[in-house]
Amino acid sequence: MLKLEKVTIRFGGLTAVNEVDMEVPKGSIFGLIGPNGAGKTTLFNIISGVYAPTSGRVLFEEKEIQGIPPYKVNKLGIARTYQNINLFKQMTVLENVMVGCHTKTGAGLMSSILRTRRQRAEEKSVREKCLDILHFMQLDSKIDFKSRNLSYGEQRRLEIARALASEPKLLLLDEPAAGMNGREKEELSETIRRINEKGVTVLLVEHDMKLVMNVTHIICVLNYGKKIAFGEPADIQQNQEVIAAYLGDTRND
Amino acid sequence: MLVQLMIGALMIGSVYGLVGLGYGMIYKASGLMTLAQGDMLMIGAFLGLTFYKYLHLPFVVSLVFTMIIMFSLGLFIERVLVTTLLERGAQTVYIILCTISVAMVLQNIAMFAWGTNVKQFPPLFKKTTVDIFGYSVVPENLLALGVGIFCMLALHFFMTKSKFGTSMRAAAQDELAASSLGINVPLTKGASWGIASMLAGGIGVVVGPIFGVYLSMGALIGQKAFAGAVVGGYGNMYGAIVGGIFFGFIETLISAFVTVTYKDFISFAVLIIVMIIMPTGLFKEQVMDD
Repeated sequence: MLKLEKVTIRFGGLTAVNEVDMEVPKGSIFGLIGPNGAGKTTLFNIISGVYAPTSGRVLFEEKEIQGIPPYKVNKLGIARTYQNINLFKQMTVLENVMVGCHTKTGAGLMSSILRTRRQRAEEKSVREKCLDILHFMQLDSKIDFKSRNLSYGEQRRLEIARALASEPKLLLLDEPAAGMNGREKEELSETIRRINEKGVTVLLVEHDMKLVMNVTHIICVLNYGKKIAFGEPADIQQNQEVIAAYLGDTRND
Repeated sequence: MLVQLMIGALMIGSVYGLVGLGYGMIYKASGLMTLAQGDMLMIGAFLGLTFYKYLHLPFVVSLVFTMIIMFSLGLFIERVLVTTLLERGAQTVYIILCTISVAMVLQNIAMFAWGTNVKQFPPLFKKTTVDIFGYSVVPENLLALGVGIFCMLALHFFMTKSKFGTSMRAAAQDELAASSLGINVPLTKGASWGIASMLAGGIGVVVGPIFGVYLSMGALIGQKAFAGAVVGGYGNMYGAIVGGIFFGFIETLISAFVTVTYKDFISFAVLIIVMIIMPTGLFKEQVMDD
């Protein structure tokens, strides 16, 4: 579904991502891991259109998408969440999710001013869809709260809800478990599985190894911008290079 | 006497408010500052005068045409000038300088096209005064007030109810998140510059018949609108309106009961005092802390 071919990006002299090849199969939960500064978030930003790669190709459903702006990437069916929560803080929980739906609605300015019947019907269906998503993410008791007043875990869930509202085929989750407690992490694993069961392919960047090993089908490991391992969770756990990258390479000392 | 004063104060206050609102919108949408709002108003007034007086179009049509042209002008400034500067790594001060340059260019274009004399609108109404509850009021003032209130309400509903307005608010609060949700952020930014100059230009058309149309008409209104926007809490649309009306009242009351000559001196002294007492403005704006 998503394929990276020799993707490279340089910032000045720093090569943040170096010739990474990767393929995310349709319907999978794909884990992208690596130590701090390995280039995971940078790769995310390339896929979602925030950065254009210096070289290489990004293919989504056989179409080249590298270098096209984020809002167009979203329209193709890729949604994402952010490592540092990026919610619309002064909007309510429901409004946040409704913004996510906006690209899927057709009514233009004139019909929203004139409040045509179609417009009202559409607004109602958008609202219902958003409420469904909020129910799915267990936020239905908070719909009228300003998003900045939610707890940290709730804000993370709201980010996922908002991303789901744009009906993505591929969902990019950037460290969704950061700052969550143990129970919240377990619930998050469950949520990711349920999202996946609905037919959404998930690409997950996460530091929490237990969560990654528990939830993903395939894992790709990055270190210093290079892919160092690729495979099923069980194999990755045994991979010497991965262990060295995480614990520090003792052979060179 | 008092009723006429109040209507006058509300009228000039909503003029300051609507022009000031543009500063806030632009700041919120793009984090940038324009200082061309006053001259946008002046250009709008000249365009309106041209459509109405020389091309003999109905007043409403002149107003609408002017607003369309002014919207395009604002959009052009953001999409072409500001974007190019930012792409080349210009800092915020350069953008401010760019808007000052735009203001100068507009003034000179106006001087070339319409000359340096004060131009008068032909009277819009047959009567010079109308009776409102036994008070005689200048109808042009009522028109300006009416257009002002209409624009405020229309903008409020546009921003809160329409899809594009919601996208604009979302993009203003979090650009990155908005763009990854399919919102065309460059377009929302351009539109905010467009709306700001459209409002200033439209207001120019309705104050033209009251004050006359001349090259420097925008300068002082622009400054007071800016002051109103700051007092209201820079970046807050509603604050700019309240701040503008606050300024309108101070100015009107001072000129009515204290002094006409020194009204600007006192108004701006009040501005400094407000800034010292309430450094965040009347409505604390959260843009900066987020």
